[in-house]
Amino acid sequence: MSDTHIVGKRVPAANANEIVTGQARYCPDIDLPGMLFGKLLYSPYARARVIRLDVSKARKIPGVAAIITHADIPGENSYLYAAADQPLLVIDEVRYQGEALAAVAAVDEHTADIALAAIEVEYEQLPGIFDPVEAMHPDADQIVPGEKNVLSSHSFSTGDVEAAIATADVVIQNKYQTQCAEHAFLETEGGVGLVEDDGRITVYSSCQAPHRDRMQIARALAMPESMVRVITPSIGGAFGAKDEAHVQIHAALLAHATGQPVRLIRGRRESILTHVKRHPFIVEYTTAATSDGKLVAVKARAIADAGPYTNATQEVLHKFGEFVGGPYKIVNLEVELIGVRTNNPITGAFRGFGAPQAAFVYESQMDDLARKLGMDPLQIRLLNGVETGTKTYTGVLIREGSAMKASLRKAAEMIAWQKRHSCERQPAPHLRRGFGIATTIKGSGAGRGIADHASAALEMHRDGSVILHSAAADMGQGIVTVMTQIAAERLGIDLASITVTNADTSRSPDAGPTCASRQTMVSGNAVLKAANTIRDSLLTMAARKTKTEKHRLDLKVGHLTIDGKPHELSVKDLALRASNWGIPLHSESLVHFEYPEDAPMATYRFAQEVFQFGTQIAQVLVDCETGQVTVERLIAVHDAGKMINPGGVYGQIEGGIAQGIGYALTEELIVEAGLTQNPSLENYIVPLSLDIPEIEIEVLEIPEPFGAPLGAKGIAESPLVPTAPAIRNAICDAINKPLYRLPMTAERILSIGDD
Amino acid sequence: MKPAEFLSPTTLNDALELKHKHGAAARVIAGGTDLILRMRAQVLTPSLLIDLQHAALNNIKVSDKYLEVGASLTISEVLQNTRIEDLFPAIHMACRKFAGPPIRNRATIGGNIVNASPAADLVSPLIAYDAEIVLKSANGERTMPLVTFFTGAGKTLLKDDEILTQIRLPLSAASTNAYFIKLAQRNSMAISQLNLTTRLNLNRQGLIETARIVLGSVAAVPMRAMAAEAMLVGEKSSEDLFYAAAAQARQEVKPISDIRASREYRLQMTQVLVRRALLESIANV
Repeated sequence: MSDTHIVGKRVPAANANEIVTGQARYCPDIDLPGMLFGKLLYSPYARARVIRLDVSKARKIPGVAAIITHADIPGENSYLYAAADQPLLVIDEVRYQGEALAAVAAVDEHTADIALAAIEVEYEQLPGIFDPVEAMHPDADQIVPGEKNVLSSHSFSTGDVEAAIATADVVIQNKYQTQCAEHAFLETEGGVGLVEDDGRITVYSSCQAPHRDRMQIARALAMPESMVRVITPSIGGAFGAKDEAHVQIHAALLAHATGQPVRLIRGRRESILTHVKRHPFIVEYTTAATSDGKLVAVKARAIADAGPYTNATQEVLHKFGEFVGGPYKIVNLEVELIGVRTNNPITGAFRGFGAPQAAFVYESQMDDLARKLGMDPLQIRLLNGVETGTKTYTGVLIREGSAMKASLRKAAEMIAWQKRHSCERQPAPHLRRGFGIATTIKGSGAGRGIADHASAALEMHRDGSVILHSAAADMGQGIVTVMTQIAAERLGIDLASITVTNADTSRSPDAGPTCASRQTMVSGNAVLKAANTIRDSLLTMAARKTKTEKHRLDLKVGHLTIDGKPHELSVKDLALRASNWGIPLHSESLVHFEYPEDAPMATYRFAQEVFQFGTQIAQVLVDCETGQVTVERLIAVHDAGKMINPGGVYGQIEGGIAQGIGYALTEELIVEAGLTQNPSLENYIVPLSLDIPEIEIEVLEIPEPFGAPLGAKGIAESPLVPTAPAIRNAICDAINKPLYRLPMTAERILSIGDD
Repeated sequence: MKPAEFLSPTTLNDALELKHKHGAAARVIAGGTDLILRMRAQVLTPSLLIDLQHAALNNIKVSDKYLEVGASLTISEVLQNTRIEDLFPAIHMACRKFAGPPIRNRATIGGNIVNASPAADLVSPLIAYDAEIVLKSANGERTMPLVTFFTGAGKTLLKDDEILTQIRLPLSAASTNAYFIKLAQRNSMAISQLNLTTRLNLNRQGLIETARIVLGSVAAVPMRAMAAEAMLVGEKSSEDLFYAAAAQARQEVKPISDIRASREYRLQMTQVLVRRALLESIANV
């Protein structure tokens, strides 16, 4: 596909016009006749027994249509992501601040507020457990009765780690701490539920996984899934937190209870308090190497704070474990992964899914090792890096790994790495300049052992226009644009001829969740397959009409070509003829991400098979008197396979880096005794435009050979992964002191600068 | 948020009458950038909002002794005013660091004062230029130095029937030997961890005649480091002198630890940044 006409071209996002002109409809924009306003009553305590929950007075308030508690849920009172241990509405004990106890539907927001205030709750506050290490103690109180506090424990090892460490020339051992981080998407969680005339429930849901939402709503309502329809309106960002269900289930329950449409939107404070966060990790990490810098062993023990419920903890930990050694050849590796329940905020999916925590640790170790050996941080990475054909410590064969070293070399070239210290290193007595490099690995796809398939349905009409049904949620990342480009490319038509419907479970089969940088690959393949079927029909038609062998025919920019030369027959003509002849122009595909037979089934769960590599170099200026860090330059070289929409790829890289700068320097959900101290965007400090330098981007287009449509793979998560360690290494280069804790706030930098 | 009635009087007198009649139940609203948030959080639950947008409090004029600034001037308008930039540059600097353009287009200089946040960005430069404020009621008016207006975090001497109408900047205090520094967790849309303004007026011999060191977010109210100021008066500027004054300022502030910074960090930064601001104040001398 070297001479593509739409794939690989920078095209505007499919719905950009609607978004920037305010026409796009998000959950809060949905306004239906007779619609009620839903609100949830949230616990103010991190842990408390509910002695009494009395909604009788609140129910009598004029304008209140329904108040439901756990007792009013017709079906299962639980979310279901990986386990069913988190209730939709609390029964007798709240286990984190912000857990919901009751849901109200009222004629307006103000009345709903009054009703919430009139609900009588008597709590008995209980001593919570807020330290995961304390929660692991065998005598610790059980946070969820009948369930162990250690909800996930897994060890993996290869080679002989102890022997390798014992005989290594250098051993670097450190303890790291990463923070609880908030997604801070623009649009808070929301859902609108309504009851159709035939009793079916329709839910508009701001989500990443419409079909999983449907399952969760159906089981809460005790209805068959066929009676539930989930539609995604426009979605204003998600970053993982909307992979797990939130209030769309409650909106459905309230609509079911009242028979009226109910819109339920979380406020910003409620949003920050209640949805899953990025797991805080405590990591003990040992790196062993030879005196010439060759890695011989890695040993790590990671404890992740899950909050009280399971959510994606096990999967995040496994992803951490899968990448714990980084993109390096390591023969001896041992990792212990522990997920622990506490009464802290719940944690789960967040862009990167364990990989950013791992990268902060392994790339900090690499720099500490280089420093100890007096080696160039670039050279030590090149020396140990994986390549095409490397078998990783998880046993997975890297089928295309040339981007690892290529990205290192390219980034180094862009900043003139070997001459970096010829700049002014101390531009003022209190200022120090430093450079840091980080190179990372991230996978695409849900991972082995997890359902990883997608469907897409395409239909070409007699006028040559096309409708594409897909249930792949687009939260702003651009999958709709990507799918449109792939379909247009294969069908030889322009983008404007294709209409894509919103994800809607009533007309689109499951595309799986939008997560794990998977949709470009999986839904991309589904669209490719469906488009190829229609293309074949058109070419069959063309071959018949022109009496030419099919292999000489192609479709390009609206026309048939024969041996590459344009023919007068247009795609439109072919579509009309095909439909007159009854040749089918619709196709529905189902594509599985096929895991190869050599996948190491026995050892490592959820292992991915397709990888993105990336290198970032940060140049920072540290004010040694205030601890403040200015990121002056950021070089980013990433591997995206073949780019479908370069605009989308560059956007993902810039966005990921912006989020990575926040993760590195300022973002931290401050939780004291289970209570969040900064549940607002005023005090949860995400970086803004003035905090982000011009980002210098280079994309390596190395077609992915394995399972990728047209050689393309996901890029949504990988750019976030190297940013924090690159900045960390730059700060350490500037001040000549190591840092082991995120975020690296001014105060923290200052306090270690004193030593 | 509890709904409130919203009235938009077209004269100041009408506004004062409304405030007189409704007292504490009424809140004056200008930009609303802070008030609305507090109403949403149910910290404030006024039954009436008196909008000042049409009450003719948005002009700047020069009298013989003062630059008189209307209280409902937006931060953007203050920022764009060249007279303020020329005569009172530290105010201009503070406006540049104030939130971001959308907030600056709504928030007002009067609102930033009556809000009485210890971290208010405009208050330290205003105090550094010896600003006075005019408080009006249906029964008359009074003026006072801004530095005396604050009685605690969120608390002022404003009476229930009064409206802040004007800020007066004495022309005698105008000085370009002034500097504003804001320490915050990001470069825009941030609440100060600490802010400060220094102003030095030099006499013909080049000795310091007047010195102001005003700090925000290091005590319950914006404060002057008066002992540090006193160390400077009559002296010739020098790095050593500024170093000593900065160390003294650190002794005078009474910061607390909060979500944005620890007490210890604020103490340390007081010393670092007072020295820097003093040096910057005379950078062009």
